[in-house]
Amino acid sequence: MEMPTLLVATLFLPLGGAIFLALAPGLSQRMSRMVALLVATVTLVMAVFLMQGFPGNLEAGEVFAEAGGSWLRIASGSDIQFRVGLDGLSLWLFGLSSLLMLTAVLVSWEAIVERAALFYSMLLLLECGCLGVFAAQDIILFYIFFEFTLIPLFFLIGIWGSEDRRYAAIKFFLFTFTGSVLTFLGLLALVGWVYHESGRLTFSIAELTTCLQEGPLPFSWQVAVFLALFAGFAIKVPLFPLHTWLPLAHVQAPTAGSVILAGVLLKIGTYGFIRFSLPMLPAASAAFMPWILGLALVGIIYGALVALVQRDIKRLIAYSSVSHLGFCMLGMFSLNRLGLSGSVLQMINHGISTGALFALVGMLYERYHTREISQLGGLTRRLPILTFFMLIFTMSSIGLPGLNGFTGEILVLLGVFQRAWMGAPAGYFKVLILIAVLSVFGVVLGAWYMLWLVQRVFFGPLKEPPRTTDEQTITDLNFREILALAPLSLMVLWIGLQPSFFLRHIDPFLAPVVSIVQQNIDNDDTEPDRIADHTSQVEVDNLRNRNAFSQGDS
Amino acid sequence: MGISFDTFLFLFPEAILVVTAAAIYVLGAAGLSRARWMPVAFSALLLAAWCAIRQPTDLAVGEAVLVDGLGQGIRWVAILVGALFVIMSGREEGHQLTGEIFGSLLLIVVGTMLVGLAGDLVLLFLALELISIPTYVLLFLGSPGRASVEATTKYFFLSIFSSCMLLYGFSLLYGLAGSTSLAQIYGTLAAGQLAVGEVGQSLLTPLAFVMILAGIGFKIAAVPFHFYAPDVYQGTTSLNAGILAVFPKIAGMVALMRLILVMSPVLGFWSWQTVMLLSLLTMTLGNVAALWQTNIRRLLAYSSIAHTGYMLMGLVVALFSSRDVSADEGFSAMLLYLVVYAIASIGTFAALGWLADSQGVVDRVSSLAGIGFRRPAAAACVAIFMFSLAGIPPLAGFWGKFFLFWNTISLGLSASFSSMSFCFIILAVVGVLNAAIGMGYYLRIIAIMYFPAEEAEQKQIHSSPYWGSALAMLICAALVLAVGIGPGRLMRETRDMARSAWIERAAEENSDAGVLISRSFTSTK
Repeated sequence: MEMPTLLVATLFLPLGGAIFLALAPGLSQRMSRMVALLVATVTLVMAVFLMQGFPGNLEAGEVFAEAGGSWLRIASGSDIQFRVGLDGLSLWLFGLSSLLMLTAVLVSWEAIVERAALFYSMLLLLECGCLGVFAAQDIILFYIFFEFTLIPLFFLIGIWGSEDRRYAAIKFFLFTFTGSVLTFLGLLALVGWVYHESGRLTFSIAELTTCLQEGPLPFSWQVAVFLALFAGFAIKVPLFPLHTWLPLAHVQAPTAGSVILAGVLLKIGTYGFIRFSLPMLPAASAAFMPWILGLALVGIIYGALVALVQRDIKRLIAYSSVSHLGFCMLGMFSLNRLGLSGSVLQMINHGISTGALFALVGMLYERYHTREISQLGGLTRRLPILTFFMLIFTMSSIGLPGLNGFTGEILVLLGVFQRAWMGAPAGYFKVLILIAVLSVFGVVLGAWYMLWLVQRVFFGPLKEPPRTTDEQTITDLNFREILALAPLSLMVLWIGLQPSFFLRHIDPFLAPVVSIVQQNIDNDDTEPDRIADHTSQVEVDNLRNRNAFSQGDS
Repeated sequence: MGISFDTFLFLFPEAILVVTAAAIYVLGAAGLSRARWMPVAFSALLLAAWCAIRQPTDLAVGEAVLVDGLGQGIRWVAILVGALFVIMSGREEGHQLTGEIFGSLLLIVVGTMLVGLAGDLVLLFLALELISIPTYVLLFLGSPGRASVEATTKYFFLSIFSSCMLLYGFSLLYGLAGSTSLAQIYGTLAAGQLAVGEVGQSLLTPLAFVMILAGIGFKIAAVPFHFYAPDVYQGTTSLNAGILAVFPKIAGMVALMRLILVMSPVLGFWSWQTVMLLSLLTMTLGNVAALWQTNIRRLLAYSSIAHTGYMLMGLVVALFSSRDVSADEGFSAMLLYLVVYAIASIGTFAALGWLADSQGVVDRVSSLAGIGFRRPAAAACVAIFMFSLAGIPPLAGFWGKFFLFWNTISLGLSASFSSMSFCFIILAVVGVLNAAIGMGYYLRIIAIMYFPAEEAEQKQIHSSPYWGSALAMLICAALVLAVGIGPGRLMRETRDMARSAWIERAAEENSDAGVLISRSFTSTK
């Protein structure tokens, strides 16, 4: 099959599956989960084919497997298009979504008894939305998928969640929706600006990027639009202090919902930053850099500290997500190549390890019906295989060298240190150094809460919640559960041992993004002779930002 | 200004409906039950539609009637909406034995059709009254009881009051231009040959505009003329509330659009600023007030107020860019929103009617608790309508909001208005934040259907659900999905409607002189 056709088929297969599951009358739990598994597997296989066909020499700005056509003609020659394709950035996230969906289906296998058909239908709908977000090459299409992911997750949390599910579902929806309507306005403003500047009404992300780099928005507008985009993306990430919906949603969501939420949906926020904010609004990104780095750091430390004191395993992992996503943002807003590659890699890492950790918590919960750390202990005797997987993903999460977490974190840290020492806007030098140094403590804290968790729950004397007599004995992971986790643990090893395989696709996409942001810092016409070494670079940055801010004020 | 035969021929579809309505009123006294009259009303609508299609195109229609895309489009919208309501009302409710409901409904449809076609102030006023007066009857025919009487009385007095204001505005307009024909008024205003002097014009034009805005503001339930809506919706049946939420809004918006087009030569900055203020107030108050409602029809009343606010955004854009192409865009965005809103509203009220059949009165939001799994089809449809009203893609409502916000933000970005652009950015930002606020109560309805805190007390009333409501609900849901996935057709239609509505252009086409009024942003300044 042609690659573009394959991509479109990959997008629509889950949708078809979802519609079938929702409308087919009287599907049993057994039937519906088989259908879901089949659809998820076929989707994964097709996604793997796509990734395998991805050319190694894709230039920046080129899109692989591009397909689609006009959807809505706004004016002659200007269409909102249904246009999808993959590039270095979206490739792995696309793959990650389809991989985690398989895990999500497998962990729901026994857990979801009531209204199973609807559950899997929602899950597949969610997959369609996630894949679409990453594949969309049209700004409106992107937004449509972006918004659309809310609906299935809303129902997943609300119908199959735990006690407080209604509140959690509504809070999750309202929080993200409020942010994303502002994002919507920001995206429209980008299109509108290009329209008024060049007379070209286009909704294509690639064209918009080019146009906005040739004729950038004035700085004051960039700030406004950046903030609008920030509202939606930062809530989705979530960046401190906009994270409050996340622990709630995670704790109340069913396991599969948590896996997808942590693994894929949070990445949409970071993806949005890299796809839109950085390349389209480079000056504003540069100006906001220290602030966002600061917020990211607070998120890292705060998330880690709060995780330390949690009594509920799932809450702990939810807060660890806040911390880890802080690292993603930290790397991204280092605005250099190291940091950005680290950030993208960390997105994938976090998706795999945290997704798997949520799956593991779900498996524990199925066995003991509790997630209280204090009620569990020494489980390695009872559940050796589960403990084995738990250890793998814990090590991945805390960044043990040789596993994927390490590669991502080290790149992020290198990036932020490079920014602090060799490119800090003057006046921010000390602050950035402080941020860089403190972020290392974030890594330490991360190791602390995760290892402490593992120690309390899996080692030491065996402690299990009192069981009623008629309950069956606790058994270790079965084949299905191992099947859900094994691909993820293989990915942990693969990314850890051969990160270059993944980075080589990401890098060509990131290079122009980095250079445009960097140019934006360098290109100061009033100070042409001072771009000589790093010290004066700092001065230039400073001047540029000061000019920029004063322009913004006037 | 006698009515020529051609004019009569052109208005034949309307005539059919009026005659049928009269027949129903007279023969309804004979006591035939409501279910029997339904096919009669429905076939009258079909016949009217057929006549509208088969009409010869070369009729020499008098000046009082405008033959343009807008009029034709509204005609079709009115017939379709009317057909949906006819299907919905085929079942007796409580003590009602009346066939009159169909007579009233058909008259309202005719009124709406005529608003779109009216080319004369008198006809426009009569058309608007043709919507109001049958509505009083309908409200009385609603559920018996004090609430209903109160609602009707309230509606009656406020409606009369608003008609007075509208008439006052019309008389001022007549005084300014010396004619009741819209085309002639436009010609006089555009040429600047006003009967009154400069001072008179600067005083009277705003007064006329504000009076008209107030009069129509009542019909479309814009703040501060919205007070009646929550009480009236709450006090009457779902069906009547649906009729109130849709017909007056379509007619009012279209009338406002016509009058703005006619007055465009003399409308200054104050006009768009007034409407913008109205729009901001309307959507914010509507959405915020809806958050606290526990009665579902009251909630939907506030929601319909909020949607008026969004539609006014389109008018602001149109007013600001007076004769520029973006004025078309503003109007067409408004029309698109209007249609999309109408579909989702009708569907919602149809669904409520359907649910009421089997579990008694659906009054409170909490009485929807748990229907998500007890009545999956109805719940799914209501969820679709709520998401569409909230503007979630890929449903129809999203495209309504898309075009409104796109036009607003695009106007805000056009570089030539640095000082004004701020206003439009504010408008757009308040608009999207309102969408988020609105999401709050739409989500509450969905959450209560699918994740109930406790099951609702079930009053099982053993009557089989009425198929008509279900049919209307399903049609609306299908339309919402279809427009959501393929909005192109509707967008083209509404754009053609907006473009054809310019009286000035029609005049230009007729005369070869074709002195084009400069279509630039500056023309109104």
